[in-house]
Amino acid sequence: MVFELVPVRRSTGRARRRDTVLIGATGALVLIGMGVVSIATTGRLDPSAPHVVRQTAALALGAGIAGALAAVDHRRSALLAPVLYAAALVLLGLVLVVGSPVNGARAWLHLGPVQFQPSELAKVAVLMLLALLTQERREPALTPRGIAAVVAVAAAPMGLILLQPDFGTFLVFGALTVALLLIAGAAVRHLLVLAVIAVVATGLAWQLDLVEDYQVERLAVFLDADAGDPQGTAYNTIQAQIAVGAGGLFGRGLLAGEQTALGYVPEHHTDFIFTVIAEETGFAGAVVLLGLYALVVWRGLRIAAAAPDMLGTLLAAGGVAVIAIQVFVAVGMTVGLVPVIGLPLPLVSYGGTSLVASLAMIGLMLSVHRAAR
Amino acid sequence: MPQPTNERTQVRLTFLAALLLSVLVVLLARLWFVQIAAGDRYAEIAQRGRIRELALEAPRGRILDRRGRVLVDNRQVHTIGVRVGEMGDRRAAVIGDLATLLGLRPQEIVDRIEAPGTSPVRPVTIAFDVPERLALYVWEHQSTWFPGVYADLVPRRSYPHDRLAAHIAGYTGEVTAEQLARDEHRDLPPGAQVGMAGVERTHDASLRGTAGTRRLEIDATGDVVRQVSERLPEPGADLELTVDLDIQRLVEEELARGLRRARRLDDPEARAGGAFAAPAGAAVVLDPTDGAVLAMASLPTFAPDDFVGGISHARYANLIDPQRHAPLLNRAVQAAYPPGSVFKIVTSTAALRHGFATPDTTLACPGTWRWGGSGQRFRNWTPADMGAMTLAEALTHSCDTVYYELAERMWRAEERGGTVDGHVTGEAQRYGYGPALGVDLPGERDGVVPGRSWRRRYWQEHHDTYCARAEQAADTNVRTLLTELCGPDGARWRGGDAVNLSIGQGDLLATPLQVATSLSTVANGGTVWRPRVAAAVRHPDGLVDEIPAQAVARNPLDAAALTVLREGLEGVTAPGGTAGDALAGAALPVAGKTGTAESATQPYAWFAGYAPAEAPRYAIAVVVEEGGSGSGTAAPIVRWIVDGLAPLEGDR
Repeated sequence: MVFELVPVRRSTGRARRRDTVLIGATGALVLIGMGVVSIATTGRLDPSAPHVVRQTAALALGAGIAGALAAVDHRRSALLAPVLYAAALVLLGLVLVVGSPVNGARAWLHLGPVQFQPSELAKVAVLMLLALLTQERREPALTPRGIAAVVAVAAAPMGLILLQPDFGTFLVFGALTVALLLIAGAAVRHLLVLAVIAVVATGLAWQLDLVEDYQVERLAVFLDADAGDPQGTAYNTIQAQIAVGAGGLFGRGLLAGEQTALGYVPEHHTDFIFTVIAEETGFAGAVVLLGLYALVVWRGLRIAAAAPDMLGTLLAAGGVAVIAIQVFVAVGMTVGLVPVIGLPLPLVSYGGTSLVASLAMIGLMLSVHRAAR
Repeated sequence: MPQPTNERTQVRLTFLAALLLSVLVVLLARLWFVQIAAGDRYAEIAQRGRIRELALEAPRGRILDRRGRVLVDNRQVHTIGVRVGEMGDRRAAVIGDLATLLGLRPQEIVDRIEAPGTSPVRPVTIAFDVPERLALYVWEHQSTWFPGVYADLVPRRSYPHDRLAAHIAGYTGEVTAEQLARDEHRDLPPGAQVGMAGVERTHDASLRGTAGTRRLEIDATGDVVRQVSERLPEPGADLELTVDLDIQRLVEEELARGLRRARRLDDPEARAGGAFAAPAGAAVVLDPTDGAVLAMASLPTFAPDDFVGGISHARYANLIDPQRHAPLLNRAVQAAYPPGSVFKIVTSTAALRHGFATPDTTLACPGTWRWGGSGQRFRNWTPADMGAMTLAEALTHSCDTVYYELAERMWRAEERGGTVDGHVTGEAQRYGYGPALGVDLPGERDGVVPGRSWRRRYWQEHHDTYCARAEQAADTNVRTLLTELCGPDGARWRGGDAVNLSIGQGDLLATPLQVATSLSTVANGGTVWRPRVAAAVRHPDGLVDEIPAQAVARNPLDAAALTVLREGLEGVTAPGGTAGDALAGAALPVAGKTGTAESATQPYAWFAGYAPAEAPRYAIAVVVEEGGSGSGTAAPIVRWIVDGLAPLEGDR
């Protein structure tokens, strides 16, 4: 897969600035994802498998959006943020009304044959808008008022997402907000206050019964695997862990992952896709995969550090945070490190909107990179 | 690293990088532990498939009649399925043993395993409805002789009344790939049973329950150690129909009897070997006070039990074969016919409503009638001149020429006034003709009510074909006609069209349900009820959701018009009326209208009416394809139905 993300144009007389390592790592992850989605859904490598075809369509769209974002100065594309944010809020509201429930959550809009997850659009929109707001407010340092404004902007989509309910995506937004505040220079004590407020709010939500039963149960199962398991959460965790463990050092070989192929592990082309990779390619494969993510994170942070302005730093670092938290949760829940929350493995899991959103964030990083001093 | 934005930011970025690096280390450490340190243990567990998940299918809700009697029930069926992946290198031997046990050839089992559409991740059903002893045998010897083979007990439909109300109930089947892609079935696992036709389909969401799961721990030899967890399936809700099974049985039997009788009647024009073909028909009984379907029959019919466990392609092909009159087709809602003279009710109402006739107007009923007195000639059904008569008498004797005259008067007024759609076309819609009524059965088709706008649309769609065929036509008359249709004049709503429409011929089409609804509208004085077959959803927890009656339109008929219609329709069944022979002296007094709709082959016989005439509780429509005349074939069927209804009322 070759990405022509940056048009042949010289602005400063220097060589075209294109982060080939970032582009290469992203491309490799997407390719791996295509292969594993095919294996997980059809049991073989089949480029014409329906899931692969749909994912390829999403890839074309995502690469186009990423290319466009990379080509445009990030200070200009960030001006789109308010519009995207408003659109995301409207769609998040709409999905609560007309969305079709999948696995108990109303997260999907169906537009004819196309399915769309507004929370993924919201990820990009909130990243851009928060970056825009925090960079404006950072001089001399973020005041409590500034922090409150930033939190309020993040809270609106988060509230709507919690109503779906999609706890995993809610967490991603939380991590994004904290990461941006941190980079933008919020005082540590303010962040601590924020953490206390979050804990109290969670406690209140619990008391007021705003938390769905299955979420409580997932947490209980995580804390104590012998807890009752009517929804089969512990079962999923155990089966996923068996699949990962059975992979050993070099895996059971491609297409030989019976634990996943025979359907013991649920959602093995979306949230649990890591189990397929780990079972079939073992620890070695997992290291390669995590290494590719490490490359993305490293290049993203490097771009953030070299950014020409605070906005660029925040856009790149925020994208890194969103991708990293998702990788941590999607891998961690298959090995019993975190509760089953349900997040896609970015760039790899089946899911068009998620792929497009991840690519858009990579596109923003590339744009910042191009503008670097 | 290149120069940072500023130093503070760099510190914070470094902190973030350190945090993410430590997260990576934690993940890798945990993976190392799970995959390398404890990997052997997990590999062993995985090899054994230590925990096995069984899906527990939810029984669908039952389908009950309006008095709670069970029309469609469930029974437990033993099935045998295999998961090939668990057979390992013993696959050939296991399949051989299984074939011997079930009396199949090994190749048949292999074919089923490898059939397109089967999934490697769930069991493939090999045998359906096997005797209990075989299922137990497999279950007991699974670990030793039959690894990967599962005996299962699943709920499936049973039909205590066999074919009764088959078109209403419908049938179920395994959810198809296309259905899984659609919204309503999105959450279903592959292999789930869903409604494919009838109320099984339209009320699938109510009838379908939620599947459960049972997880069993298996030891190294494959025996069950313990049950890990169990979530019981939640059964679906029962569906209570508006249909009364006694009335349904009566209607089905009398319709079948009527078809058999028509096949022995002489066709006066000696078509189709002298008798009537009468291959198919439909009958509908509605409650005119709320649109409830009390009975709905369509012949030929089918046995829904044939679909349990899957139906062969050949058998299914027969059920939809037009040569065999497509038994799966529910003619009451999925077929449309010209209603013939039954439609004179509509023409009469239009003439009365718009002042082209009063209850006292008398019109001549000659044997032939000419457009404008000297133009094209149209015949009455009898060559005899029946003298002057009122509208009520014209209904009673079904005088075509009276309606031709009214049609011409209305057509001329419309042309003068520049009316877009005619009086009769508009009136038809007030009786429920035209668009589908919205009954809760799948595939209800629209009727066709022709008129000026319809004609223009139709001409725009077809005029290229007319022109092409006009050039090729060998016959001069045909060519003249097609040439006319090809030109701009082909888009005109002509006088001849209005004449045809006035007696329910021409391009007019209606479903039997629409015809029954039109009589129900006369019976209740002007309300078009949306017909419905489901009365209530009875949830397992005892809650009952009643499905309310809904009106499609309310256009109260004025008292004078009602009097004319009722008098005319009551006359039809009195001695001397067109259905006098069949219906005079019926157990309940009937008012109604015969219809004999011309078709390309033999005429379609109609009778549509309501009973008891003075306080109607039933609106009835019967049609027999290629069945002869309304009075000779359809009216007797209604007589038998009404005579059977009277004693049933005593039970209530």
